[in-house]
Amino acid sequence: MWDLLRVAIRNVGRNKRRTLITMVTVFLGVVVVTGARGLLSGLQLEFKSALAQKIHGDLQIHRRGYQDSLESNPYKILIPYNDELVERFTKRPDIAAVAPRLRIFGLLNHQKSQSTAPVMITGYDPETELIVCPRFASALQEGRLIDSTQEEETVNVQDTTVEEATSLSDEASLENLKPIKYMPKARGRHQILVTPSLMRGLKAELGDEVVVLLQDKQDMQQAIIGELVGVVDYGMPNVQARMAWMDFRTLQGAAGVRGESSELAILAEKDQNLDTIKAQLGQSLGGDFEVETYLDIGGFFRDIMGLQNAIFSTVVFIVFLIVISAIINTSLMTVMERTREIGTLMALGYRRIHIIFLFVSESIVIGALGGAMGLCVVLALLFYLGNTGIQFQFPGQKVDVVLYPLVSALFVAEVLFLAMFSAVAASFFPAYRASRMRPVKALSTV
Amino acid sequence: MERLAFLFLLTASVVGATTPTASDVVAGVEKNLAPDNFQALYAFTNYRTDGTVMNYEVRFSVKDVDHAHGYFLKPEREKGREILRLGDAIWTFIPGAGRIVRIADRESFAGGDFSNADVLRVDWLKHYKAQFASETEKQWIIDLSANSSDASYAKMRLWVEKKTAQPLQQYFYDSKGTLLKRLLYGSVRDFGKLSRPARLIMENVFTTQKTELKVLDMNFSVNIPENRFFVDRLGK
Repeated sequence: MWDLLRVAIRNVGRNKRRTLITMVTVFLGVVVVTGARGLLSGLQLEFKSALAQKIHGDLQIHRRGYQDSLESNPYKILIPYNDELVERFTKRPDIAAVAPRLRIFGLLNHQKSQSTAPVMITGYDPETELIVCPRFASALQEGRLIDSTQEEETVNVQDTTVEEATSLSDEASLENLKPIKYMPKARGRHQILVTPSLMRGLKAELGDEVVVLLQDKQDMQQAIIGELVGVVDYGMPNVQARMAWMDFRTLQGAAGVRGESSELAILAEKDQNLDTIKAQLGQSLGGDFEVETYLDIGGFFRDIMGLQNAIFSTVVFIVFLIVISAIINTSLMTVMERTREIGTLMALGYRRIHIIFLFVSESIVIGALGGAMGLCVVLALLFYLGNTGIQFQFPGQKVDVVLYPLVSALFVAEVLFLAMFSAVAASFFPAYRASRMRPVKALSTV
Repeated sequence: MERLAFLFLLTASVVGATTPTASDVVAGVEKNLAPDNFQALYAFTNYRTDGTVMNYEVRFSVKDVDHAHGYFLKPEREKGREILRLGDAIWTFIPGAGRIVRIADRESFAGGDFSNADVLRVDWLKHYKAQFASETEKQWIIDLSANSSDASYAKMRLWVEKKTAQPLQQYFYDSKGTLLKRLLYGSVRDFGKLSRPARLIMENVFTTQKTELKVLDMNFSVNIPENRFFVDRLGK
């Protein structure tokens, strides 16, 4: 057998052009498949990282039915939030930090342009939010983030307008209504962040005064007067365009929901299995609550990634089908060209299994060489890009995202195996045909 | 008659040296703005800040403070839309969808600056505590502070003319005292059984958007069928 293997290796070098063509086919197949996987994995890693570290946190705890009721009745799905609860979670060895969020729908009015837009307002705790979602800070495009220490509680005002009113006359036009002499505004110091589209829609600038109009838990209308301090853009598709952020406690106070939050975002300890934590928390919290991973919440991205993987698998299949076709073609040509050699080997006493072994070995050598060279080139390229990164923007977004391509060692091994397996599979039929030749007829072939 | 009775009560209070309480004054205004058993035609005009103007005409049938029904006559697109108040619940029938939907009384009425409660729920004393903020020779200025979670505003301030017992102006505040909206009353018109302001302008002080409400007609000699106030009769 060792003799045959040596002959096989020597044969690879005998017809250089054919060997080169086959090797280039395998080489290109490996480069395309590994390169595409590297880029795709980098893209998917960016998706996951943005979802977990910028937007949602690793896991979230909600009241059951949260997704359905958030817009229609955000107060119906509130959950308790207090130090005792936070301690209960952070005592677990698999949970590193917990951050509360309060989400309410309201109107955002820009005083200078007198533009008003419906908006989802998220109250977040600046301190814990940046622990649970460390990349949230990178979403800031302009201005600064909210600083809790600069928030000042709203001081109640008393309307001192006790002067007589005048009756609205028949002739009074809407433009000439008697102006309000004293407009009481309960002021504190409240910082507000908005998305770029909201900023554009309101024609606002940083430092402008805005008013958040909302209905509190008792359905009473409330107004929060604040200052635009920053612009936040997640740079991700399928994320609500009209969003505003405020200090968690300020929004809690205005909404009348002290001790409650809409959700708790959780940062898991490193290398913890999120699905395990999800299952354990779900069991301990009971049926009224639901625990979701960032992929459960960002279901759109999970579906996108699933679709990407399915398309990629199809591409891999097609690429290796082409590789196999090329190897079959060259192997058949080789068999035809070496008919007399096959006859000689058989006449010398080599059995049919040896002939099969010879041709399959040649293909394995070509597959292994082509695959290994392809992997060397593509891994070097991916290593380089993995360090420098590729800057791009998601469709419809204006924020640069850096993609770092990567492939796992397992995938590299799989590709190498696939290259060699394709070579074996492709050469088996020609090898079998060669083994079925009759020695006398093969020797007499011109 | 009701107007006369109320004015008589106020006059008697003054003559008898017993000044009316803030609640008495508010009760009179409530009774005048939302009497029992009448039909009225209201025209709403929403003046939006982008310059667009929307006109609506709604015929209201009111049995009492807990039973009110509105039927949209204009614009053509909204014709057939209905709104029904039963106690604290408000329902709307959307003809395009053929569905009855329960809505919140704090939601905007027909996209304007009046809320559903502003139009359909003039029962302030049920949800607010009234007290005088000031009193001048000609006017009472009354603060209405919410004492029920069903109140739409944390506080309201109402200006009432002593001579006519008609409201002149109303301010709406949030719980911190920030002024949210202003309502101006005017063009008092005699509708037979009572006189009341026939022109109201609600102004959102933040958005500066305004909605004008004109009472075009009020009819008190009506017999409103009982089934008008059944939810399952909406749209039929």
